[in-house]
Amino acid sequence: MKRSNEQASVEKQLNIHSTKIKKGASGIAFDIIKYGLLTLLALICVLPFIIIISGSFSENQIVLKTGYGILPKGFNTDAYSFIFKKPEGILQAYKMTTYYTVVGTFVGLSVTVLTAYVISRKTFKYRNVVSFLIYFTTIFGGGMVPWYLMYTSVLPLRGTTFIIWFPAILGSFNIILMRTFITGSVPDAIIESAKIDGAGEGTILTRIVLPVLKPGLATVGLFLALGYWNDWYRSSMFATDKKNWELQLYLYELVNKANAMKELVNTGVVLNDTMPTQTVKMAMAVVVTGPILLVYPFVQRYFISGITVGAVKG
Amino acid sequence: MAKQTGDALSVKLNRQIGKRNLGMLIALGISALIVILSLPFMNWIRISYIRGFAEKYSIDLGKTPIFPGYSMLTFLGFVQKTKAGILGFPAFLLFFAVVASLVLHAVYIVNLIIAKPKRSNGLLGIYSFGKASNILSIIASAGTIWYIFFWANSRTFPGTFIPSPVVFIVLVLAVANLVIVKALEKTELKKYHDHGFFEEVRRNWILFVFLIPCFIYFLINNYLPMSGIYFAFTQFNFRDGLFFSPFVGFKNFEFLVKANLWPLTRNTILYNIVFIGLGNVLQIFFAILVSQVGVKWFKKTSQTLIFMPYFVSYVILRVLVYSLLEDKLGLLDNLLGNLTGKNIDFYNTPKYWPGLIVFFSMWKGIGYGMVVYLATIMGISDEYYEAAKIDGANIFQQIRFITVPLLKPTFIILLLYAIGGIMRGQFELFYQMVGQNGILYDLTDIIDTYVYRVTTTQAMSMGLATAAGLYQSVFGLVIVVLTNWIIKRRNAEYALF
Amino acid sequence: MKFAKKLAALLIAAALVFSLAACTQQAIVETEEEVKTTEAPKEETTKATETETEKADDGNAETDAPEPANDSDVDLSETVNLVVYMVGEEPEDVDTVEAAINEKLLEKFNTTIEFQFSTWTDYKNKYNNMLTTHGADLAYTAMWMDYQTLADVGAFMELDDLMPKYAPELYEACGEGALNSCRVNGKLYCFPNLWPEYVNQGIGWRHDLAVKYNIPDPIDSMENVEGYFQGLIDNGYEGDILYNLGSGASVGTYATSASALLRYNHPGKDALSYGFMYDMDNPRQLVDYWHSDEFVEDMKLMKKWADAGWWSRSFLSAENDTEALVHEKTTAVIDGTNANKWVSWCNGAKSAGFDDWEIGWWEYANMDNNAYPAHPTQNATVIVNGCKYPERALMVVNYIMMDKEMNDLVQCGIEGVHYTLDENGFYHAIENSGYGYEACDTWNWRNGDFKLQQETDVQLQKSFDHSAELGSHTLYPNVNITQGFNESYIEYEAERTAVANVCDQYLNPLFGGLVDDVDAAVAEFLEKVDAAGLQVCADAYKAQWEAYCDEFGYTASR
Repeated sequence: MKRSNEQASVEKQLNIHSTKIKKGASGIAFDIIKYGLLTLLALICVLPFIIIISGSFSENQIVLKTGYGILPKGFNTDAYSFIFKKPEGILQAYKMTTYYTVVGTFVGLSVTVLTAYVISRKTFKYRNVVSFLIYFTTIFGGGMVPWYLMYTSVLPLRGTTFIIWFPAILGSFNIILMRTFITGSVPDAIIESAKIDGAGEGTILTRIVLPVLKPGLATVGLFLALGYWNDWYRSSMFATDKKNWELQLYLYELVNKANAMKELVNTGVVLNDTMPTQTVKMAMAVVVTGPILLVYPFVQRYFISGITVGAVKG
Repeated sequence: MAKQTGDALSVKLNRQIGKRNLGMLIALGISALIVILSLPFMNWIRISYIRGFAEKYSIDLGKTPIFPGYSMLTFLGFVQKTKAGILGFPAFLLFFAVVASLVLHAVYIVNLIIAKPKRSNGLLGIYSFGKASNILSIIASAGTIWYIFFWANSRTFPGTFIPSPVVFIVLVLAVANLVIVKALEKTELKKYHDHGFFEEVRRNWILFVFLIPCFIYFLINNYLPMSGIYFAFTQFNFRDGLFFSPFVGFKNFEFLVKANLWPLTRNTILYNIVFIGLGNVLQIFFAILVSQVGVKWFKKTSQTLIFMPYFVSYVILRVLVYSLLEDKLGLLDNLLGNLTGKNIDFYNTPKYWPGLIVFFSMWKGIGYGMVVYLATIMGISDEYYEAAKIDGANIFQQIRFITVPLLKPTFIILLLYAIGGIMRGQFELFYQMVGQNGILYDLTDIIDTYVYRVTTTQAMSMGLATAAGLYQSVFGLVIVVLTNWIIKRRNAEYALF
Repeated sequence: MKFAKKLAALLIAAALVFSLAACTQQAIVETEEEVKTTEAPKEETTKATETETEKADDGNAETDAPEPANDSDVDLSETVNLVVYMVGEEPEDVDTVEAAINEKLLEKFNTTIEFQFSTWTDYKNKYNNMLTTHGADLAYTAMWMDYQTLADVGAFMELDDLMPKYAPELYEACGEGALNSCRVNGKLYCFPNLWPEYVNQGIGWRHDLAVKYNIPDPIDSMENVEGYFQGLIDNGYEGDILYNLGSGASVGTYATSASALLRYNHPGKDALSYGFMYDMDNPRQLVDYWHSDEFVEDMKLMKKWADAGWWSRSFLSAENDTEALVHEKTTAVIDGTNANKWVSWCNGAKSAGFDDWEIGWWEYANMDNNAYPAHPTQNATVIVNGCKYPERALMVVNYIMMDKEMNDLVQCGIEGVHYTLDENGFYHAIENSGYGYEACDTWNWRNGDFKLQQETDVQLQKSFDHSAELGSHTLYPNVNITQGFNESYIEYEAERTAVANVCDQYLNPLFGGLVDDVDAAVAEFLEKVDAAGLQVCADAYKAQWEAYCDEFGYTASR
């Protein structure tokens, strides 16, 4: 409740801001440009999604023959009933993915902030060395096999849930990005004066840096969360039990299984379980994207408020 | 006591002789000596009892002549020739230690000859090279001794390898040289109010504690698995295992050279340049537009809609693209065919594809990429704009002189990340859009798709994939280090490291 | 400062607690799951026994392999758990079946088995990872899982000495012929299933359309093929005529699936890599197809068909659809086919409501008798290198494959719970029992003598008998010469990949009939492929092929 008040006040401020702009001729021109272009871009971006949604409600046989359309062809919900045929399975996958996303994002964000704070400090002698070592990981890698070996043989973690969220908590890019946000929103002088006033690193981080870091936290948090939400690879590699699967893996497996069983020449089994392949693919996209789109507006509020260091000063 | 002798030594070594001090001259001599002793013609490893070894590894000594001694730089040639994979991995690490030490010694020597103190930290920069090069020499020589006694002999044929005196000499020289540098550094540190590593830990221990989780993570997730780079130089088999399969030198890289490396490299780089350039321009442009929208619902809705393509997986993108472009049946193909009266034939005409690929890449990435810029714009203090408005700046001027310049640090970070991966293509995008359609390869094949095709038609082709990855990495590293250096010279604030 | 210290400690503690919480979370999920299963026993697999078996496994890892007491006896005093790695997805009720199997195995060999599954996502990578980390004892293998290459680089245990000793009945049943086909470099690494299957290619087509338009069926000769497909177009059939399955083997002689029709032009010949073909009547002699005039003629034919609109001009980028026939995207399937698939199309058409359809099946062997059972390495079992108890593994598999009761249990589950047998002895799955026919994908443990018959098997068996009859007329009856050969290309890997790339880029369009000028395109292809190092590959390949024919005695001709 408190937060929305805060936001409302900021909104008001922004509205004042924009009414002021509208005064000039350049402001009007700019309005036309921005609303026009944004509407156009939004349309281009949303059009395929409409095709996807209507595709997911189409009849597989018709889609196979005539392709997708803006409106559903032969409206039905076969694809969804196929996916939700065993609701416990997919609900478990939703549950686990949510769990991985929440835990991974929280832990990841904490560690990212800690690390980024250290390498943003000008008085820290080894900040460039550490930055380089962090950056270096994006350029050089040993490939999948030694990485897999590390988590399964060296550290016997296969089959735990830890292994599914842990490998993605930190990203070199996220750390450096966070560093940029910190240096961009907290001037050195403020930190130095706080140090002179006797504040420790922990106090500076929580009292001075974190409050103005909201856009940065929201950005990196969003990236982390999306990464977790869209991942299938780690549970595919490490999960020994279906109940630990991520949502994307659960859905991929539906399609992959159908493909593999059909392509294998030698199964000797006649599959009675026919799957509406085309429409299921589209329904999968809806099933995966839906929840995130519901959450996204809550993240957006952090991109709207313009809290700055100036506010802290006062 | 020790401190006293140390200080005395420090004083002695810092006695000025012309432009340089005594210690520098001695260090120069020792370093030069180490370099000479590390060169390929100096034997570090002697091979004494070759017959037993040759028998065990069924080597025909007539066909593959074996020399009585090898330097650490040439020893890998011996490993390759004898196919004794068990010897490879540690020798590979030692090889790099020697190469690195040689490079650093060379830099150290050149710096000692020039001997020009920097204004900010005097000779400290030069000394840090001295420390690094000698520590590496110590690692290389001590490592070689360990390798011979505790690895090579016990795992192949006992008594085959003996360390030559050269190794021990290098070890002693490097230790002496390190002591000298340390002593020299001491006075310089005092002069510039700087401090060493342990002093830094003592002062900023909390910051080091903050780094512990990050350190553990990257060690487990990245640095230890990096040992897999070695697979680029081996021919894997299960009998010997991952790290002990036969060492084959650069054989795994041959397929890249054979495969018209140039068009692949050209395509990869050109596409990436367009993606980076156009992508950032569009993202910045639309981020500014969105940030300037005052109507709340419009702002939120447009931002959400622009973000949506990010969720369209590449598999679905493939389906969408095909249903747009399919010959005669595709929506777009149909439309254009009716308009122009000509058959467009997208899937047999390579020239359309660069445009198509760029379009869909932009379409998919713009919402995601925009977030960073949007967040940065939100971080800009309102005070700047207020001040600008008082000065009578219109909205275009505000954007031009406030927003855009303040986006620069973010842009540079994104740029450096993109440049590091300039040799890596967006595999999924290309693979799903083009698939196995060879007709389009001239303009759409990138290194990643090529490597994928090679490695999927061949079982156990880990070596090839790693080799290709290494080629991309080395290329990327060189370009990034150069770019970073240029940026650092212009504005150290913006540099990545 | 003091506060900062506290805060740092707090943050770290928080991170630690969180990671701990994450571990405990797993435990919570497990118990929840267990509760759920007791409520609804049919639903969702849980591995209640997982923790126990894992413990047992750990225990084993620490102790050394027991020495056999004497030559044929194995010390069975210690309970051992064997991990069996299968390709595919875990059936829901695997635990019940596993428990029933283990009950018997414990009694007999003091051994348990535990199935692990690759799932169908990314299965090849996972399979290779399993081998690299020695993650299992027994595993499924097949040609399409790169059996020969993996055996060549030492992924599996040699069985020449072990098998006769510990799985004597199975060894006997496999027969020297089949086992010999499983040998790589003269050593035995796998043993096949005991149900010879015929998977020869053929054409499946809409016979009802031929009747409707009064056009010939696309069988027997090229005239009929053209008569059928061109006839459909000429008669104004609306819809797609041929749907191709994209590009095929990349260094192969037939590059795209469309080219399967060219078989009619080359009866009695089998295609190999690098444009080689061989005559079934003289297998040792290789023929260079790409450099022959026939090749140019064939390519012109492909162009003629493509221009006539037999297939879409964008087919190289089209998605694979093995069910294209049932999806009305094609009137005939010409590649990637076999009798088994034909049965599934018939069923598919029926369930899609096309009651008036008649789908024909004609195997290409009718033309040239070129029929043989699937190669023994099509469905086979290996012992993973690094397995500590190969003797027990062999004894267990011997029991599973040679005992009717046990075989039925593994393949089909428990009678009455997972399936029923009707009065004719046909197998019927019980719906939603969680364990279907060959639910664990144990195709490698089939035994033709025990295999429970399904109704469709009758139809299939008829087709198999026909194939067997055809195959008996060949020079080497019932031997799959082509698939028994394994190219060892490590020496010329670089050239091979370059050639494969040229094929993708220049040969596929030729076979798809997508070029403007066939003569020029053929010349360009040959020039590029020679530059890529075709000669190096071809020479090596030829030498290997001849050595292979000599080794297995395929040297006669007629």
